[in-house]
Amino acid sequence: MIGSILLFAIIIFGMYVASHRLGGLQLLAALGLLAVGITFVVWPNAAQWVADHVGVGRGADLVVYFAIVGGLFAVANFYFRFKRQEQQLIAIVRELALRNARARR
Amino acid sequence: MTTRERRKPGLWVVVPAYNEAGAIGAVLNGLHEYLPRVVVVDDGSSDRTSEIALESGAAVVRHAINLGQGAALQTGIDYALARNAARVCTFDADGQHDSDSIAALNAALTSSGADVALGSRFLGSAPQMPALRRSTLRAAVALTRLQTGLRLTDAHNGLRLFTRAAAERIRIRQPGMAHASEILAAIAHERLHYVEVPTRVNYTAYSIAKGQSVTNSVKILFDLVYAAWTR
Repeated sequence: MIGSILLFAIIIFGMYVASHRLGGLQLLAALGLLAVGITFVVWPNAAQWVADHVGVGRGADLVVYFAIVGGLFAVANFYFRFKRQEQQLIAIVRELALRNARARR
Repeated sequence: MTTRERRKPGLWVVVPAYNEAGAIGAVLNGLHEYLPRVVVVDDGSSDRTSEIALESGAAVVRHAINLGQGAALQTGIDYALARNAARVCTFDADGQHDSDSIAALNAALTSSGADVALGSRFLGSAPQMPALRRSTLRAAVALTRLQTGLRLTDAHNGLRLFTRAAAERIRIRQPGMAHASEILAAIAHERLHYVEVPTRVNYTAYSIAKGQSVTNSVKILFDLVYAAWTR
């Protein structure tokens, strides 16, 4: 039951990602994430198998660790994007301000 | 003063201002000898800063939203350069600088042949400077030396004078207060020649309240680390 729910969620996530234009690297990361997610849902033992091989006690722990690292990347990605957009916003506001400059004759 | 006269090459004073209605009138009065080549960049104030500045005879450029002092400075510099500024002075709106200092910076720039003249309250004077402010500024000086190699006595003084060429080569991208260090980094990077000039900073209850809190230096530090990382 939980497997089909998770699978459904992952497919929705995949459709959501596919409906947005993503850069090459981001698309690759999203597809990788999808593949890993599907693998772990369909074969729950896969996570345990990987965990055993990298020295993590439980498969669930491994998934949590990956989720944390993935979350950090996502946050950094948002931050850099915010900084880029901040520069764009500044450019617009500056352009408007300079066009509407006022001075007493 | 006609538009044509305003476009003659000369020294422009850029005054970034955010909610400075209480001080901007007196500051512009003090700058009367530089009018009409004074541009106030109203950084999205919600008070009458723009109106008072206009009435005082300055040109006014108004940001639709508050972006920060760094962004305001760059807007003002762009404005001045577009109007044939030969030299561009940055001057705080809260009354902490003396307008006489501009002449001192101007003379120093001319006699030294440097590209940039920087005001220094530590070479000059800053009576009533709170002790905590003093130590924070000292730390900023030390950090600036580490980061840029510039041997300055004051790192965050809003009073500066650029030649046109220098103003064209410096592009402020830090919208917030980290622009002060960013400007110094640009001076080092562009290998601009600079002189420090003793100036006076007046610490009043108003300017202290309007000035940066010491905790904001942590944010400045973060902005700079980020900028260095993504350059």
